[in-house]
Amino acid sequence: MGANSIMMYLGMGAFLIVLLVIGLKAGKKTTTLDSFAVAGRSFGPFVLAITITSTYGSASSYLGLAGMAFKSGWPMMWIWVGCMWGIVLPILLLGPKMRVFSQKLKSTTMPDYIAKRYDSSFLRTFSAVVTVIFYTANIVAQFRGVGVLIGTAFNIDYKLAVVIFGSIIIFYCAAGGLYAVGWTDAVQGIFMMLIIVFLVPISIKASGGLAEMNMRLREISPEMTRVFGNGYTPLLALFIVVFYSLLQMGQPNIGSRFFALKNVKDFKKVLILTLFGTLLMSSVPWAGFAARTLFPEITPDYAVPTMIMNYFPSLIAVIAVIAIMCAMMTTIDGLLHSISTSIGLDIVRDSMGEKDEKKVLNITRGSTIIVGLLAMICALFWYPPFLSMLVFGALAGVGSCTVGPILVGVFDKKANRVGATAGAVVSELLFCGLLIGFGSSVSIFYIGTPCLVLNIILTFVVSRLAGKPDKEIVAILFG
Amino acid sequence: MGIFYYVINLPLLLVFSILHMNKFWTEEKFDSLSKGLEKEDEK
Repeated sequence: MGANSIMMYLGMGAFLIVLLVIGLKAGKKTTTLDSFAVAGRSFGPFVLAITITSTYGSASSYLGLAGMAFKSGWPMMWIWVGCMWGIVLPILLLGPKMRVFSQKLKSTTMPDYIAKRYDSSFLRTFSAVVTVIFYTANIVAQFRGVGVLIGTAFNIDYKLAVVIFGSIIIFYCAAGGLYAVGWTDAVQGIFMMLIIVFLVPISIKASGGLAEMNMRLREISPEMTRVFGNGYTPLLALFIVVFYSLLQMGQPNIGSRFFALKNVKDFKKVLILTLFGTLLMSSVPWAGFAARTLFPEITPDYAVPTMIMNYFPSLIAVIAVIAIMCAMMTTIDGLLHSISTSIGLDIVRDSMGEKDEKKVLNITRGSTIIVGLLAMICALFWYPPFLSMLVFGALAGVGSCTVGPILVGVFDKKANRVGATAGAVVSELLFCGLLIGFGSSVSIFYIGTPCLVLNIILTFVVSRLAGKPDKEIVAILFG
Repeated sequence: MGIFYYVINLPLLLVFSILHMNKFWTEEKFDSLSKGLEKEDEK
């Protein structure tokens, strides 16, 4: 075994030990439901910003999107146009209000927040079930990604990789709730950002500089450097920007992070740090552009690994593999936390009426383990077509249920239960129908965007046509 | 597209964010938003 391999194994081993230690320490702080769900509302701006940014960026930021950059060139940056607005708008429009409203309503999960905003236990159960279904499917896909990446990078069996890394994630999520998720995200996020600092300049230098790289891209096809081209039409670009601008507003794993900020006035720092981090992540496509000019025959998704293998010094390559794995882990732990709190708090405690807090905490921890293990088993042995369909529509599937009630609810005093229910149910059914009908044969942007927009419109319009807002809740929230 | 992304889109995003923060994220607005929470804390 060469020195480089030894360094990689040692580096990975040390990293995993750090995650386990964080899980143990977080477990000692996680003694109540409040601490499990929202870390006792104790996060400072740095931890919050890095957990938002790192949860937002999954392996697709490093592999899939770089692959799109390889394939389509600069027009694919419309996705990052959408993503940049999509991370800033929720913080700007929702962050402070949701933080304060969640405390006034004493809510610690997104489904609970929606339920108390509209005094609707139906909306709690509905949004919790939607979250569990779509997020669980997403976790399965992420586990598969971890298995492939680690198995390939470390030359170990795919199944062993899934079991080792899956077990560690499940452990620290079950032990430490959002404390563990936030702190591990902070460590993982640093790796994720660090590697980009090397990736971009090395990629540009390897391709002969920015001007040379763009010239070579134009030689491949003039559309590679245009604003629109290679399938990215003005219409698709519009759908992409609207899709990402709305998508994160309804995601439970983003909402729970807003709830966890200690001081609402720290949202300014959160925004600046998140902007900086997301801007860094948005530069990963440069590796895809460079790889296209240097290695035109490779599979697109291998653009970043290929650049790493060919141009990175050994130590940086180790960090790079860890960084890409971190991107998957930060997504998995965020989703797993949302699923377990939906099951434990929203369904068992609030919908079914279990009053014993200690019992609910144990059920929440237990559901983390059970759902994590189920997802692991699917990743190992069973990945039917319907699961990949759920993965394809995962975030939009949840957003189609929640974005209207959330967004309209923080601004509109007239928003009521009837409007929110209409928005959630009609949009969700429409999304599921379109997903089943078209599957992945149609771009998710054409399926998801209309449903997200419809949810907002229905919540707003139906609230004015039927039902009345709850005066007590409006008085509590809006004064 | 590079020029659009880095020279037009990002500055637009920054300007929008700054304008929004200056208008809606003032000390008075945050204090007004948090009104009622102090009473809850006192209880």
